[in-house]
Amino acid sequence: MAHDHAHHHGDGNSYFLEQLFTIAVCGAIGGVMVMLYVTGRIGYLLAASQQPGVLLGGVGLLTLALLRGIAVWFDVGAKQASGHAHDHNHAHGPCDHDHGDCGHDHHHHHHEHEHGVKAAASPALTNLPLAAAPSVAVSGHSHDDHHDHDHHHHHGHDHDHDHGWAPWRFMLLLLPVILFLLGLPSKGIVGKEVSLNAADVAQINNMNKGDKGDKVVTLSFLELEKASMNVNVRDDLAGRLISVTGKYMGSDPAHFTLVRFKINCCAADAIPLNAVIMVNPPDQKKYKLDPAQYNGQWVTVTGRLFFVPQQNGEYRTVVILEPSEEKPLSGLVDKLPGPPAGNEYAS
Amino acid sequence: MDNTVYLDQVQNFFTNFSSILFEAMPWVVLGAVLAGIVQEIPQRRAPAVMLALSALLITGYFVSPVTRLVDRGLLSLHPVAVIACNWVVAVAVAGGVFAVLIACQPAVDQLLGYLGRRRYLSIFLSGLLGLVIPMCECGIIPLTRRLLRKGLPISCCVTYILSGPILNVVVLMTTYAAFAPRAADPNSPNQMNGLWMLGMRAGLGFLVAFVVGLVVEQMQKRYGVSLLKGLMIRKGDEDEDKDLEVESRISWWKRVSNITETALHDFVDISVFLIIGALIAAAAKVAIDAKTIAAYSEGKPTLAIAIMMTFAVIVTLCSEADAFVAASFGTLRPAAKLAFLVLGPMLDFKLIMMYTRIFRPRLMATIITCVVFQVFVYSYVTHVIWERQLALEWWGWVLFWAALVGLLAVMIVLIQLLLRVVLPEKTEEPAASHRKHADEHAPSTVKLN
Repeated sequence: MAHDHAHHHGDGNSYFLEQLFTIAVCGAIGGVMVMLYVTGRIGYLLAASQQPGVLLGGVGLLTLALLRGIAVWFDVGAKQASGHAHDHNHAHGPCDHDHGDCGHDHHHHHHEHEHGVKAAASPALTNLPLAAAPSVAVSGHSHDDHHDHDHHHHHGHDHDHDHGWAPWRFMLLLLPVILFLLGLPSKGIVGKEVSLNAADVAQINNMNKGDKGDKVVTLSFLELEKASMNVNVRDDLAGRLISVTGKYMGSDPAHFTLVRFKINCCAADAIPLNAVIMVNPPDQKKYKLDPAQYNGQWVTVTGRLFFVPQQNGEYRTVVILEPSEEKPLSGLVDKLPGPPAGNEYAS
Repeated sequence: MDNTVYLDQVQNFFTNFSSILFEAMPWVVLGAVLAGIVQEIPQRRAPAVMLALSALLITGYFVSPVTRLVDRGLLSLHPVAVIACNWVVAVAVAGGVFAVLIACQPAVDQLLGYLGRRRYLSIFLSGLLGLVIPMCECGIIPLTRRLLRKGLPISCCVTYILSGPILNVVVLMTTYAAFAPRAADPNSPNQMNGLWMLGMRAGLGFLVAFVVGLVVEQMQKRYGVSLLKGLMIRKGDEDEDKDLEVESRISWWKRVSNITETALHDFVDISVFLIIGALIAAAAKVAIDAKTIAAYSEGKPTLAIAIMMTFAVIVTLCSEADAFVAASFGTLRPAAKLAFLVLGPMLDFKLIMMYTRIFRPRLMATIITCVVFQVFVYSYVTHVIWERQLALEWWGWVLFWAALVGLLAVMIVLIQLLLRVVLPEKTEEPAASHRKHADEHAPSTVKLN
């Protein structure tokens, strides 16, 4: 039901102050949403399918803030023009909620309820484009200016309406704005290094590393994940030379982890896809990795693929590096300038 | 552990927080705008406007007819033109729906009157409302606040809040997509495929929401509007015909002003608690590893169900993506994943915080207790039946289900009794309390015409 919010009087300054803060904060959040999309930083947070929604939401919020700003501007103008010279007999009848005791004179607070106010009495005024409805007495209703209707509220209950304004809410709402201005987050989810346990190492050492030729098959992380769950694909790929891209995570010169996250909606649902890469055990004394050079970097790894069964029935993906004089380790672990195709997540 | 690990965890915290927040924000904006529109329109026009907006959203965003024609090669258009044409078609469809419903206003009024007299049917249909008005759980809250003020019964609103995020075209499709490839994994036999998981999630979600709606209906008869925050309480009845006359004299600018004020107010009100919930969820996600959850749950189905339910509350995921997270727990039993998928859209940190803006503690406690209890029981029953741990004759199954229904009824009664003991009873309606206030205190400062 439409109602006239503009019946501000008495301490109406707090109402306008709250409106200004609301407009400013909502506009700031809308701007942040748009800027996240424009700068591409939204890619750290959301999957590609979700990103246009952020842009639309930001534009929507900016539009709302702009329209509300214009409306408040005219409201203030109307208030100043009227000089607030009307007589307010405030029949504060059915507010439909419990007020209780606020401990102070209840001059005016912005009520989120109807006072039984009907539409403005003067259609001519309200039909003017962009003219605020005057906060004047309307049919069957007039307000008292000092509005000293002592409510004698009692503390300890929930008002459920704006009682003046609450600055703490706006401080909290500014948190995402502050984070954006600080440049946070500056990257996507950071993975954890996965170490091999003794059982895994023993299994790998005992595995029959008979190869299936030297043709290199390029696989994505998603394909590797699906392969580890399907027995037919595992049998087909095990022993093949493959090339896979991921983020280097490790501190051991003999083995490291490749990590990539799969998100379907947002970074909060990121699922790590771990693949363990290790130098072929017989060659580990001769060829050593330099973790400092690679850690946190995007790399493409070429090695032979195997799947190690785990206790829970799942399979861990393992890629064995086979360096030689012709193919040094640096060629098998190739650094990339950035995420593949500019997308950090496999979605 | 060196400092980089701590820095990485802080980084992950901010990333998780921002991703939860900005994934939900567009839906909160949409819900706030719809709330503003609902607040502004006369009550009689609400069905026509809401269904028209819903048709606009579904056609423009989900169906996207022109995009589908282009994808099939039946049309060739510039991408910008495709988007524009989609929304032109959506507006046309919405306009058609609106015109039809306005033309059939008497029939709509009759239908609403019929439903108003049949509360249980209304609750049942409210459980299916998400199929017609698809909204994420974050957008449903601001919209439902205004529907409550417009006179939609509390029980219907609660049912819609709980079932809407699950019985939603997008959510059902993503649930199917997440589980479809896992039909035949020999390492994890007897998993639910996409169709089964879709059906079970939709069915159990609806059942939980419907039962909670029935419970809330009984509570409403006893406690009235004191179950709600004061802001949610509808004003007294008014002459609707007179309202329509008055409404027609309000300028379009005034309407826009009112809509924007309501929308921004609701956005601020909800977003504050969304931010608090997102902070809690991000901290929990950094502290708790999903693989640890899976490790604790292996081989213990009852514990797995409870752990996954807790995980669902903690991770605070959108219902459109939680299916993929559940599916990633490869070897976990289907019932545990089902518990995660049913409870998550109904109860998580951000929702709990947002519920505090609508419901008083008594109703919140009732909803939370009923939802958690039902999800656990249904999930465990699903586990027993799906894993075929019970070898019963047909009459055995009949007795089994009868015993289950009886147990549910007893537990719901016990919950109600417990809440009466724990929470103080407030049967006096706030409106009555206010009138009592006004009578007791100085009418001398209140001048009446």
